[in-house]
Amino acid sequence: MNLRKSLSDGLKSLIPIIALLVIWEITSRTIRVMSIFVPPPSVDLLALYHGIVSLEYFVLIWETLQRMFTAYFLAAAIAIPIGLFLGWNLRAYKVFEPLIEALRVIPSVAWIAPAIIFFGLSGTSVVFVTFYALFWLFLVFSLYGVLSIDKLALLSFKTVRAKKRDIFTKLIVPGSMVNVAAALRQGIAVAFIVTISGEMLLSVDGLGYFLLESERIFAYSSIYATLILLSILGYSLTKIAILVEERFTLKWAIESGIRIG
Amino acid sequence: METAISTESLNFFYNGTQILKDINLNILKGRFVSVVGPSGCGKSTLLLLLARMLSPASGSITVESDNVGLIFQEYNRVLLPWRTVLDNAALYLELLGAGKSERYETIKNYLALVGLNGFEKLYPHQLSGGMKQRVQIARVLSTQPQILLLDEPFGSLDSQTKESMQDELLNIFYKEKGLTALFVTHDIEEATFLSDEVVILGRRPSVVVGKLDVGIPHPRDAETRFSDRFQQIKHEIWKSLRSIGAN
Repeated sequence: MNLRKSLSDGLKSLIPIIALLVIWEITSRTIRVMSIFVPPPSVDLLALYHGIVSLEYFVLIWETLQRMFTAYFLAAAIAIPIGLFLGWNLRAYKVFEPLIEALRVIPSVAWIAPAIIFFGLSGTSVVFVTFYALFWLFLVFSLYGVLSIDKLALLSFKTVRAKKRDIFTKLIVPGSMVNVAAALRQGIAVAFIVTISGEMLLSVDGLGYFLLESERIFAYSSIYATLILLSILGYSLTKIAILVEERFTLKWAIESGIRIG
Repeated sequence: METAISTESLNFFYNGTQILKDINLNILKGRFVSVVGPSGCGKSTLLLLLARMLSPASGSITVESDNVGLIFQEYNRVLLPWRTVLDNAALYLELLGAGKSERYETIKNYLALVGLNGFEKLYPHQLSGGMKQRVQIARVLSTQPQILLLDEPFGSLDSQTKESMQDELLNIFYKEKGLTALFVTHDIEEATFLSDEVVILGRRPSVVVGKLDVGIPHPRDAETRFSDRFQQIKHEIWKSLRSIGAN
């Protein structure tokens, strides 16, 4: 009974998507100019299918994901420790605050220009720009995570003269994990956006490049096929990020209702 | 009798405002003493000074033990939400360097003492307010303090839970021999029920406006609350507080 209900609910939630595809299909087939510039989904899905069976899309996805996650893990590994340290050492934070604020407000895609000077038109440039976007996100969230730790909890550690190292590993780090996990989850979406944008201008491969290239060679169905693929990919990445967060890190935070974002 | 805590002409300022003025206390070892006073009078500040978490502007503090336990009112702020009851209670032992099996062994006894056996694996958000406060009490008692400083520990509990926690606190106090307790509260009934002696603090800047011996023999129980002597002491404290315009 329950299975049947959830199954029918699942089918119901597919209706809007199917409706959109149907409307798109009909309008594209009836309006001549649309059939050229916005080919009907049946044509786009066929292009998607061909791209997949020829493995072309797998190569593109691999290139994009590789860049995205190189930047992601690099930024996490560097920015989170710095954020935790600055939150813990407020005197150091005061010194670096103006610099951090000055740098983090620069839109990451604005770094595309200097990236070309530094690394040329290459995957490295894409990684750099994505890294830049993620770096400040991770740094600021982990810093605020430390700042959000209750001062009374800190005082309670001090009543037993806890060692600095213990305060850091047993209070500061776990206490800021709610914020860090939120940043890591949001970081997936940010990395996806910036990597695709970066690839459009900086690289000669990857999904972003392929999108723009399809437009240049008038392969319009390829554009929409790629957009559909990005939708599926983006959805899967976000879902995986949420699942990872829920399964491993923050069971207690979700149950006590203090998850962020 | 030996003195456990004494202060002499203790003064404390915060941001230029005098909070405590000329506080002289002499608390004998093994006694249960309450400090009552209007809210914001610096009762909590006094405890933080005694626990050496703050330094006085002038005057002296003598505490006859290094082993001072401090229990806060806001259990929600001192329990770590990512730790189970067991690991929350064992935190102080852990911070003091006890190994895993050693601290678990020890903390089992204290969790039993506060009536929390069987709840080890739960997380704070799964507990009631009273239970959370018991976790904190077990945590502090596990360090075997000679002096226990309690900052309105039952202030945010409902009145029924509060009364049973008071009974249990007294029972713990009887069991843990040699313990001296300083209990801050603004609840006259609570101060009377628990204490051997009540110190009344005035309005800011706070001075000691009165001290009185409760003089009700131990052990006390729920019946104690209905005795004439109990009512009389409550009335005395109430009159003192009224004289300084606190109620």
